Amino acid sequence: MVSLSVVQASNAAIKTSLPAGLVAVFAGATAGIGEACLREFARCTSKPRIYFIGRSQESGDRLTAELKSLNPGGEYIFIKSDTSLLRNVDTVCKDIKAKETAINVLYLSQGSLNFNAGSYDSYPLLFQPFPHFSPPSPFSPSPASTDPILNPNSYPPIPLSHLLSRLPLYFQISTNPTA
Amino acid sequence: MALSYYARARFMANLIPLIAAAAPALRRVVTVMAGGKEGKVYPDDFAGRNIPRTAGRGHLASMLTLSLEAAARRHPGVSFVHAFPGAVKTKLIRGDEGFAMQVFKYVSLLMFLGRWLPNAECGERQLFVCTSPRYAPKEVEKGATAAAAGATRDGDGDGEKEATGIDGKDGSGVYAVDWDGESAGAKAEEWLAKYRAEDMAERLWKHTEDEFLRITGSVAI
Repeated sequence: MVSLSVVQASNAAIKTSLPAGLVAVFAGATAGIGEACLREFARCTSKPRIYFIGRSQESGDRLTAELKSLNPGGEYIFIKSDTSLLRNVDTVCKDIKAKETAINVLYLSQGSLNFNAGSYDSYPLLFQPFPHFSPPSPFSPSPASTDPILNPNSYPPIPLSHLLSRLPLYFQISTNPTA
Repeated sequence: MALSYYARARFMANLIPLIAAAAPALRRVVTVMAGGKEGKVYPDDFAGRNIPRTAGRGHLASMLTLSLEAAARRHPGVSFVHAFPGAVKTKLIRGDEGFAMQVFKYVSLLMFLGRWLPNAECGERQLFVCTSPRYAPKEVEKGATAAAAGATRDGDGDGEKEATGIDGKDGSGVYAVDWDGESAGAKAEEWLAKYRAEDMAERLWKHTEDEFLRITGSVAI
């Protein structure tokens, strides 16, 4: 295991060991893990320029203000977008490519459900939709997608027999989050 | 699957030229899901519509790691990490969600009591994954900062060597990493070695590009 002190020492050394003006893109940064990493990134770097993408303008505004106070020397650009749609991903990327010629870090944490119930944000197996798609989170409504793969409406309704057959799986959730 | 795999692959495909063009000191793609939990992948059903429920995580984790492997082959100057963040209390289940979800929320809290990773620590560890020279690219260019260049071949300043990549070799450029920063265990490495022998990464990337073409008309923008 990498000890926390090693982690903290490495992070503290960033301002001296890595160049100033790092450019980063965070997708899925307005909640949870992405947000935590985003904060630390802003805090530990010198004059970063960070694009962060999420669905909630409110969260974006709140975070921008927070990051500005954490590290006033940095630039924080929130892009409101539902990146479950490929065409939205393209729009966001086009936007970023118009402004940047280089990116140091791409951090992808959108839709991070942990299938092993190893994190608090995993959707209980019993209630997972059939067959498999990312359920809407409280921070955003379902994407109104027309892409065949990404459109939940292209999947059949859940048969009751399937729900019942899944009941035993609920009790198979591992209790070890790091397993 | 959509958010988890295809959208992320699209981000990577679109932006990788910019990452490859960045200063050699830091060029990294980090995808957060289930690093180290790679399992059987279903190549006839990459989208995962009909795979067994319990196979979901292994399949998705493998797809993410294999997609990183395919990208690394094309861009050896960039490093790629598939990370597992650990048990983190996020606010997915709010007070106004249904009763069953509330029950689940409290059951989870109890089940993982003592094993929750505090949000702040998760953030610090994730930043480490994003920036530490431990997760170096396969090819380290001259021009990387002294700390990064020196560190990549013999540790990050505290005597630690580079992390073990998914092919079992240190510093090979693609890493599957657990919540604590350690590289994937034997089981995951076994699956990934099997898929390396079968060239599964290329097969998956071809499927991904075919889907991109079908849905958007282009392989990347």
